[in-house]
Amino acid sequence: MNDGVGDEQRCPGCAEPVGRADRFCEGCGTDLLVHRTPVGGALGPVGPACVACGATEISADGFCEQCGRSQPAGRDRMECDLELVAGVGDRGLSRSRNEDSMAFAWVGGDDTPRGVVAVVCDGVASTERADQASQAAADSALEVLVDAVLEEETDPAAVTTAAVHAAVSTVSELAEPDQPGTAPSCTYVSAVVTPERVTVGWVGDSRAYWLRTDGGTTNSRRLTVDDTIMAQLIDRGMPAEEAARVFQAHALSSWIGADAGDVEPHVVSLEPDGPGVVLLCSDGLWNYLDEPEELAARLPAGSGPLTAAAELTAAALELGGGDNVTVVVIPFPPRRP
Amino acid sequence: MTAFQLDVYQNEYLPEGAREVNAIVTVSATGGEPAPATGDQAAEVIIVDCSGSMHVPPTKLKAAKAATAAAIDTLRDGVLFAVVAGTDTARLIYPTRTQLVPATPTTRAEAKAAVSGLRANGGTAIGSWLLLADSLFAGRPTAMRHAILLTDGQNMHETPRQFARTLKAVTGHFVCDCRGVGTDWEVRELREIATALLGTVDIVAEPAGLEADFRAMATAAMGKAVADVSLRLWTPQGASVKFVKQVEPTLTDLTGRRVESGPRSGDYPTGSWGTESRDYHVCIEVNPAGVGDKMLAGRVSMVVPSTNEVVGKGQILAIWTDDTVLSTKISPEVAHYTGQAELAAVIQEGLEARKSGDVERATAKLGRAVALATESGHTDTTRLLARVVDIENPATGTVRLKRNVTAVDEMTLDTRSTVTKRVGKKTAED
Repeated sequence: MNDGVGDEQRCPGCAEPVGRADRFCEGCGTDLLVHRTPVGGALGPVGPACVACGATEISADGFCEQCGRSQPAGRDRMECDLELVAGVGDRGLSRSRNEDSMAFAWVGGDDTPRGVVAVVCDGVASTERADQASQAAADSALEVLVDAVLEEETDPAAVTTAAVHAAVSTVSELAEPDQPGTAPSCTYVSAVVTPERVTVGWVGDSRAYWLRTDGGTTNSRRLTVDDTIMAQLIDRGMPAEEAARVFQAHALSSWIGADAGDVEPHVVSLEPDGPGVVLLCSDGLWNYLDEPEELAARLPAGSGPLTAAAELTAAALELGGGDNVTVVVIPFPPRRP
Repeated sequence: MTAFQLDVYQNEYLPEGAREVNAIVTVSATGGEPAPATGDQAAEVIIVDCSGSMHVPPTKLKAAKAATAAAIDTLRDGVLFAVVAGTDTARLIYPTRTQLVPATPTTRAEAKAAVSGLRANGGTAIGSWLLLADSLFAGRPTAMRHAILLTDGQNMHETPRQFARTLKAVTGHFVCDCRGVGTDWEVRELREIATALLGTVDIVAEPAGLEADFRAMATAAMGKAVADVSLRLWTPQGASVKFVKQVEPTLTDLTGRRVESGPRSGDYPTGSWGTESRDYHVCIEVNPAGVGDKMLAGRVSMVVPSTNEVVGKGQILAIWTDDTVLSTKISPEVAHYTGQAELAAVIQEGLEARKSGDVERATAKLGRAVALATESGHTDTTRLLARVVDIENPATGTVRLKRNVTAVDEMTLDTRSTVTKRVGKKTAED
């Protein structure tokens, strides 16, 4: 490694000089290798005045003391841009809260990142505290994925499975022991993206797509098969119309939660031979935009991942926004712009 | 100290543009020790009708005396009390000076001796009885103030206007449970008193039943731990309160009883509380917001004025949605008590129509009552209805008016029409 003066690295937090192999800055303690979304979610800003009437007295439980309107929560609109990966989460137009969550990170201290990891979880709406469940699941799974990339683990499939197990135990702890029926639960999809490979794991109906971009050769495709009764029947060869008629066709057949036990995720991997984008999303996007080619066509050319995530989210809202929408975009191969 | 817990039952999801928000608020009070005997924090006045008709039959006055004695025996040591005899005026029977005295073995014996000497002679002016009770309670504004009122006849010796003025003057000063003995009294009159004074009303058809009833009322009064509790309701700007009703254990409309307590906030009196639970139906009209918006349509709490403490908290929410699966779901609690309120109304309207000879209307109203009582499992009311109508089909409410109905059966049905049945709350298996 060249430690010449011209290559001197400085801490992004305090501008003190740091060594290339340092994990933390000696000056301010900033993590030099892990760049991630904040624990608890990339919450959006919340204003001091009521969104409906402009009054400034807001009660502790989040209602305007004047007109009673519920004030937007930081979860209503979540955005985070880490350059190598970016994501947008939106409450949508019909739901009263955003129960989707996302967490992502990239690992590496220099121009060649070791890997990008991301998790999207969709809280199951029929359960209590589904918003807490999905964020806790995403954060705890991300921690496992980040540690694995830091320690240069060589088996991303095993790492993905371990991350799901971490999410399961975190969410299970949120359950009230006397109310098993309302145990909080969520779906899960994760991606581990290294310069060589994309590894995707999932439980439930949140999805991962590979989308080809200009100059790419690996065709756009869906990487996941929903854990729904209908999707599984189609996957086994039943015609789509017939599968759709099956009782509770859209019900989840697998999820993360105290009442689901120790689930095993599906894991697939892909070694693309050209540039593209890994897209993680909740059903709030794919309910409206389902086809890989269609999604790829909507990626704005020549812009960063945040613009791409924001445009796909906007498209879902424009098409109805009936559910929470979460979109995470990871350009492949991971490279500093 | 009494702790209040508030649970709100509602479907907060409303279709686009809807304005009306309904919720059932269950208020449970626990942990309150009954007022300590030495602290003279409880006060009881027993008012016995001594009009001439109490002699007819003579067992009536005899039973009233025995019942009053039983109530006196039920008072804990130290509880302040007095006994009033009511005719066309009010006369203090015990003690001799206009004041309350603490219950002791001696004062109880003296009071019972005074009661045994009561004679029935004169008219009925219930307003004057209430005024004497009020002046007795006046020296003890912080105590738990409870009166028992027994009458056997109509309020003949004062004008309705006089009476209404008196009732208004004493409202909020004490709680009064009313009992009518025999069948010559007016249900409407006693209900008016009980409603204003946040007490119960019931019929004691047979004089022999009075003693147990008086003892039960005095025991319940002794179980109260905190007086003058109000239900506080905050609503957002632009909202209006359609009604606030106590719906369990009995139906009482509190809407007109609101006292403003702050910006967009009003207090509704609920009287004294022991360890017990009651249900309230709150209906608020709000300005609708957009689909996906959520609003706090009401905030409910309980207020103890003696300490000015606000205890317990419940939220009534409104969320507008275009998901009809959500917005068309009916809250079973709201539906149940809406049905109970309708049940009370159709019984009273049906009996009124029957009295005025409108057979068709009476049959329709009482038939509807049978259907509602059957549907909600209110077997007590179904049984009372069956004494007034012949029930052909309880589920559809197909009935025929009975030709001969005793006054007792009619008055019992009328009096108890406001006794509601508790909603079947969800159990663990649900």
